[in-house]
Amino acid sequence: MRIKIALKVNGQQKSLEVDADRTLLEVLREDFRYHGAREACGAGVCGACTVLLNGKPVSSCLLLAWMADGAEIETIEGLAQGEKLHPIQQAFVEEGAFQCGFCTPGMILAAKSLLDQNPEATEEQIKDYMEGNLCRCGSYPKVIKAVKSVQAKMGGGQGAK
Amino acid sequence: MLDVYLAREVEGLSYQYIGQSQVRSDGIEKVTGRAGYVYNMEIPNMVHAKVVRSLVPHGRVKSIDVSKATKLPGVLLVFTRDDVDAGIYPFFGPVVNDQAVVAIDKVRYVGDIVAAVVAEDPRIAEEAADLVEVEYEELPAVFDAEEAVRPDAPLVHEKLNLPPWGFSDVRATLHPIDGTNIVNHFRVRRGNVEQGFAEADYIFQDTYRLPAVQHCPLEPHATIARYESDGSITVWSNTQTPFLVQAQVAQTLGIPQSRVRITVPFLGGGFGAKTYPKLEPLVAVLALKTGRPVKLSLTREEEFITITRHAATVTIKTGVKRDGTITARQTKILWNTGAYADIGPRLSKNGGYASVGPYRIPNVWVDSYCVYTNMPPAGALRGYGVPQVSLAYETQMDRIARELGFDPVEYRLKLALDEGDSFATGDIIHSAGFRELLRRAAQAIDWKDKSYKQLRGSTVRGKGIACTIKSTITPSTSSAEVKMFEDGSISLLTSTVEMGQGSDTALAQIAAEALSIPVESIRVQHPDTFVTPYDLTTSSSRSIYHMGNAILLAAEDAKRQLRDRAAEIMRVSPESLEVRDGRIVSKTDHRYGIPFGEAVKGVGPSHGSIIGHGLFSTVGGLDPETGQGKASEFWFAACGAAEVEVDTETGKVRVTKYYASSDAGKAINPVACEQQNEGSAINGLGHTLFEQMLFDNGQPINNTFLDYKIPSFLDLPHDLVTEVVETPHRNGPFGAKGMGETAISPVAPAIANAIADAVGVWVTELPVTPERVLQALQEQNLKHDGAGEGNQ
Amino acid sequence: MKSFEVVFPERIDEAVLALKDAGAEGKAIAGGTALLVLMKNKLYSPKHLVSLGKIDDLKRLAYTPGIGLTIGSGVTEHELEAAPFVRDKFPVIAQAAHAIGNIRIRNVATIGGNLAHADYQCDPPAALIAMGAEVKLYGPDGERTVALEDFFLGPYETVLRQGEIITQILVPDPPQGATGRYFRFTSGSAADRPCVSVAICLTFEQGVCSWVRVALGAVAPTPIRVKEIETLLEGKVADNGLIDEAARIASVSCEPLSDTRGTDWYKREMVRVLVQRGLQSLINGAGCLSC
Repeated sequence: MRIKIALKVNGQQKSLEVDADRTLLEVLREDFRYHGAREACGAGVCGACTVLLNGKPVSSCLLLAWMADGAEIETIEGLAQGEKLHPIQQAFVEEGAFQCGFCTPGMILAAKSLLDQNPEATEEQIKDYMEGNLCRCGSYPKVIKAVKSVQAKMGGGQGAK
Repeated sequence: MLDVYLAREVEGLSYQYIGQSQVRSDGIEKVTGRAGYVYNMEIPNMVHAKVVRSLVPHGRVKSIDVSKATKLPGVLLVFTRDDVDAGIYPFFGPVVNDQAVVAIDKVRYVGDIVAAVVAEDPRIAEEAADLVEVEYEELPAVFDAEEAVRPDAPLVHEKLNLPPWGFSDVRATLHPIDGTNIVNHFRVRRGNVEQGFAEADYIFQDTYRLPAVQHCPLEPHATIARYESDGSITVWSNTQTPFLVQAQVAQTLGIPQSRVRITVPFLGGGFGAKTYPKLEPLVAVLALKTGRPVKLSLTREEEFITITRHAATVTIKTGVKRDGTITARQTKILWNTGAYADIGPRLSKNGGYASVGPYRIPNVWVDSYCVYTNMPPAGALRGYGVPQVSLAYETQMDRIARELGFDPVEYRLKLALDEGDSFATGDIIHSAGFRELLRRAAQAIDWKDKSYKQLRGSTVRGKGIACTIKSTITPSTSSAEVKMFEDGSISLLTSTVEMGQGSDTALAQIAAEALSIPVESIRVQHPDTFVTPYDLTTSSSRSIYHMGNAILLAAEDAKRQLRDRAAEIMRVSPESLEVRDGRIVSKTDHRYGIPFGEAVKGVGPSHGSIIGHGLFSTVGGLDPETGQGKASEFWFAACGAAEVEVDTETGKVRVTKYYASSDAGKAINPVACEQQNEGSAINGLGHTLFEQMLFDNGQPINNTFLDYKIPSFLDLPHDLVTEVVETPHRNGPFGAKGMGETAISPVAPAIANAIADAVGVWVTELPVTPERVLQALQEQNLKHDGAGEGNQ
Repeated sequence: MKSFEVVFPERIDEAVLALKDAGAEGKAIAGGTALLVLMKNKLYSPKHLVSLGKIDDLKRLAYTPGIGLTIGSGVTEHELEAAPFVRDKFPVIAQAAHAIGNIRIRNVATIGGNLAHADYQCDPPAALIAMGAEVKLYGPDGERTVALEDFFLGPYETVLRQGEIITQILVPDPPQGATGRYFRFTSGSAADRPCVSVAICLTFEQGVCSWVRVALGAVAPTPIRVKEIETLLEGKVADNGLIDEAARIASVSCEPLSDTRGTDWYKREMVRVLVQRGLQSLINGAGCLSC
């Protein structure tokens, strides 16, 4: 069964017809050619497939594409403006908050959503919000550092103190 | 030549590019999501494979019915043993050719590959794979290594298919035992253990058990293969060992290695899982049979059963004199290598001698058995056997110290190997600062402060320390090329795989230092066996030392050529010139010189490029009977210190502080060293506290991230501190050795020792679940009650 | 995942009709976070899905003083954990909703889906049972209301009949001055599902509990309300001895199921510890809660 849906991805509006059983992740990767979101666990646990749906992080591997009908979606590809990195991306580079990089787009989007809602998040709140973004390389301490450094630059949060 | 760099440091001269934190060069690609992984790659005209896996742990394949699958629209090929023709050599494996691209006669574990389907769309391939019907004649299976070594155990392999080639260090010491499941019995025989035990005042004997765990790289195994019109094959694979895969694919297809191109982009984590051929031989065959580029990516569920860390049973017996001197140590280790040996034979060797620990022990007897079972294959995982044996020797070390009334740190300081001491294999220790590591670790957790033991409700606190020794793969070879272009820019060609460890940046730093040019002007080429020169493997924390040395040699070669060309242009003798800040200048007057690019061009029409080549090789090997000789080119030393809180009502252990340190020789990129220490510590915490693969009669029951948890943000110790110690190695580039996996091994024993410190319970089994701790606490209380001490 | 048909009713009765038509091959889907894991692994492959996502009536979350909380089955776990009146008046529910999965799951998963899925290791059921929740069901035979403690029959089994869906969860206002908390014990990673969880709500005045509700999750095949404790404690001076006795009763009366997160023996022990600590902390403001 095919279903007509409309998605606005990284500001670009697109109408398409998708098989009912295709996930949002498959559509983003195959139809939009955005490869920053990846399926690493297939069960909504690891966060490698994180995208923002109307500003909120979701597991795109566990969402059928038609569930996102009419939504605005932001992937990692939508963050930088041309070659200018988003401040969170910049902080991740500077603090070394990545190793193999496979989880990194999801980490950054989760961090963005957190800081959009709670710019002053404490370290405990950062951990609590991002607990579902897994990194086997163990970049967590540096991710926390990066998020705090963004807060410091924004003039808020624990990082500023 | 190498000593020159070391001497520079000794003389107090500072480095320009190494030894200071460098922002990683792979950052922008990774934070923008643009970084290339095989998982993300698409090749024009590509089709997709899905494998059919055994549902029984051990059985003869009676029949395979592919008729339904073949009929599904979009299916190109259903490949089974019936399609293995004379042109295909189906068997592979780094030591024993015991694994087949698809099952030939038997399946040996739940998940063993029986057939492969290729279709236009991955979803069709998956659907078709479900339609393949396989009939088995089930055979008795054996899952536990302790059971598999019994005389009446079912045989997983009836005979061993040993190829005529192989790693010299493994082949020399390989002792399979015919008619058993033992694929290797590695031994160390040093001194006289019987006499040693006779001289001892006390004998300690303990047995430790560790379950299988999985690497869980976030990018699962993925391979794409394409047959080219010239009869060569291109394979994109997320492998840590491109050249070993090249040799294997050549063998599988019966074509020259010069026609096998393995290219490796970024890896989404490796941790040892991606060493040695895995999917490549099969995917190469599928590409040959379909004539289309074929991609195979594993799901998380499949990843769990593709390769694991060896479950192990470690028995350790130690003779000790009243003054603490260790007179003898005997260890027996059973490594459950699963259905296929993979690199188990070498791991049982390295883990075997490592089981003696970093202490002065004159009499040693090691029996290390690599054992086949009907479980998923086990291979290399960060630490390479050392995490298993170090739990044994470092936990027992604390037990000895406590029972003899010594301070565990002081006791280790007394016995730890020092510069010039002889290790269990006869190797002479150099550049392994155990004492320095121990002192710093003790300081980091305020070891002397005993006030921490005070009770708070049902919570008891404790501290523990552990230190570990690890070898690197020896002998081995790395080679590098420095390619200079006529604009002076440089391409560094190595086959080191960037799998997250930061090698692109660190190797560029080494080249920059050697060539005296900024790191940013060097581009590091990722492995491509048609382009980049040979390297044995990106594993064993070996790249900084081996590839680093190859780069230094390549840089020297390039500089020699630069000087020659510049001398011709400048009409002076090459000996009067030197390289400085991107220029070739006169030794006597640095203002007089020409830029690199001009020198590259040479006299006459532009020569276009200069290629400097460097090859670095080590030697070594052990006596097959005694395990004596040279086991390792150098030795990794690490220390861990833990502060824990044990809840005596729930058994829950919380690691409140963890300190991880390793001796890197020299930190080339300090921030990357921090990342490696942090990563090792966090990885080790998972293995220690909760990770374990669970099976029911060989059926995996927790092979998803829903049920097999890896550490999350919430599992971090409140305080995680890491440190790098630098005891320069005389042959290391700038004194460096490496350190990627060094800090993982002390984690479990440091935590185990902290638990013992807190509540007197000795951990003998991982993971340290609260249930196990509570059980041990209750048994301890019963014992005390029985002894009339009756406390509660 | 096997292919399927899907319909998008906009009204409850349309959804029920669609489900009835689909029969045994049909399944209602809301957030889908639990269902899709099963479907992707082909453990369950319905041929007809009835999406509840376009039914606005299911998405209402409201609090009426004196009546209580009305939670539409389509309310997400995150909406539930974040709503100020839930956090304020029904902290046990907010805490349990927060404990689920991760923020991405909570942004999508609905409370109705959670209950209908009947996974015994899930957090909200015990909390809702402790708060005396009822579920409103609507099916081909009309509407009925069931106490949540009677809703679950076993792992993945409920009283829901063919074609019936959960429309609302009703949580009555607790007595004046009630306090409560959701206690969750994990035996592995802190991000794991619970080994044992305990939801406790009570009112406590001058040493006496006048109203007590205790429910256990992840212990038995279904979440269970421990009425024996409620009877034991209500109207009595809750001293240490009584609290210990309550914990003992909870431990012996539950019938734990061994799973990968703990054996029945261990779960029994943890029920005792959690109930004891939970009561202590609510009654005396003491006890270690960091489990």
